[in-house]
Amino acid sequence: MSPLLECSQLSVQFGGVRAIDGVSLSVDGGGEVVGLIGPNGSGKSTFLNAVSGLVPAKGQVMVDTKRVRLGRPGAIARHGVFRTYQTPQVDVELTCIENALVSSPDRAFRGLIGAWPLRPKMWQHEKERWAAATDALERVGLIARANERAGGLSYGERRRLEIARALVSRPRLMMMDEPAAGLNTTETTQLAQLLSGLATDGISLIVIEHKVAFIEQLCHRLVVLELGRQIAAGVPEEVWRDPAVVNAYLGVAV
Amino acid sequence: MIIAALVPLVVKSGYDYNIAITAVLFSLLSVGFYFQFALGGMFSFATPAYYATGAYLFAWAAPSCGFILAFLIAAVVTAIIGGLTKLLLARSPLIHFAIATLAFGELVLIIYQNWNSFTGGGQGKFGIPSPSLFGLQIDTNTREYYLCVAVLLIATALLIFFERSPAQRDLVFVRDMAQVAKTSGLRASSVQIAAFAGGAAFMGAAGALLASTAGFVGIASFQTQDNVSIALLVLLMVLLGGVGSVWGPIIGAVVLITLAQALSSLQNAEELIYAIAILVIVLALPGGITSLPGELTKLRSKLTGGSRGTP
Repeated sequence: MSPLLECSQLSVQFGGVRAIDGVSLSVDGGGEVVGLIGPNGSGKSTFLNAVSGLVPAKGQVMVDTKRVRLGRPGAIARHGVFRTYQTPQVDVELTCIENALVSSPDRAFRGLIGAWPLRPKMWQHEKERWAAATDALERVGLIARANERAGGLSYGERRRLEIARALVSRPRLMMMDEPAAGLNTTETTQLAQLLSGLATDGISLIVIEHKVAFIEQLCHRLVVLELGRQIAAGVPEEVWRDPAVVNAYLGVAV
Repeated sequence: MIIAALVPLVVKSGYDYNIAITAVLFSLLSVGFYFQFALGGMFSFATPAYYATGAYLFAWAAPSCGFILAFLIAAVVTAIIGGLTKLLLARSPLIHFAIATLAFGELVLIIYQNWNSFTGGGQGKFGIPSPSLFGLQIDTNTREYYLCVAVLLIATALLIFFERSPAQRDLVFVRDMAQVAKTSGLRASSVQIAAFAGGAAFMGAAGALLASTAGFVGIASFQTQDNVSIALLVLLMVLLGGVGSVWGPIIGAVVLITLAQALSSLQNAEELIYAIAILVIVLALPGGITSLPGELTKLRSKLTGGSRGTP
């Protein structure tokens, strides 16, 4: 069986600097969790940006053996691959449920036609969209605040709202950039439970993370980057013992 | 709206009717600008171009098509031109977009000034028939005024409907976080193109009403009003009224047009007054007139708050 996401020889160049250099990574469908780790500046976030089309990249990205156009934000979203950001990105002007609703894959009657001449049709579709968004908010524990502005949420709540938005899109793969950053211990544990629940439900994940306990609790497989290159990959126990990884994290002994 | 309905009771002379109609037309322009700018985050200087386009299209179509059809042609074709403007400039960020629309607006007016067969050139276009709706001839000042108010009412209703639809949240989300919207699967450019076209349609409708109520279209109507460029005036109206709701631009337009008449005896001091008005709004009341009640309540609770002991 071919993997859900297959990136081969992905490279990103910023001026004279190769931020990532020929990284290949694949994720299986149906709930595989891949941890993307490495020291600061190793290119983890750039890798996610490249896959989601936010920065121009060379190489090949395939979803379900279909090639995805690089350098187009949103191209991969149409294949069911969604991402979250290192700083949670929610629109503070909109309510929580509106923040979740924007990523609904049902795009029928959402423009001027639905707003003006065909409102009954629009309401029919809205009902289903709201049901999906309500489920997602329930799942991340924000249902009680559905109609509050997202501007009033705490940092950790914004992060969960972002996850709800990704869930509404009914993703097959979610790419998460440091989902546990800035969360306290309780919140981190809750997040890990939420994410492993998603994986159990068949949503595959790529998770960039620094917190070791979090990674060990969650990831089936790890990929380690250093200075834009892949230096190790495999199941967590092996990767932690890999001398190259130890070097990258602790530095060479003086 | 009740106030708008009662205006004919106080207003008697033809000159005052002109001012009342002007206020309604500028309300319509401001509502269109509010749509593009406040909801869509697209700052455009091309308002006069869409206003003129609607007027000339109406003047061209009205003699053969009648009022309703000519009005629809004016609004729809202006919307298409507006949509094409945004499509062409889809990749331009805020400031570049504003400057490009400034150039576009100037260009369109220059073309109209020299396109004699379509616009009558410098002399303008005469002999536009007064509107007739379902057998009712709109030929008195009062009827013309009510026709304009009716169109403004419809426009306001359309905007309120828009604000209560998924199109609004998609547009706001794209306005606030375009990149995230794209990676969330939203078609950010089509959302914005549709909104910009919608705003342009309102401006085209204002132009059609101008042509039909005045019976004449001249290029000067689209350059300045009370010595201030229309593109700026509309921005000022929206800021003065407030961007919090669709009533903001309408209140702003009515206040400014009335104010300009009250100050017309001051001759060239108008621009100075406008400049001061801008500063006062930006510094003292950034939410515009419509935010005044809320601000006053806040102020009052602050003043009485000490005695009640509530923060």
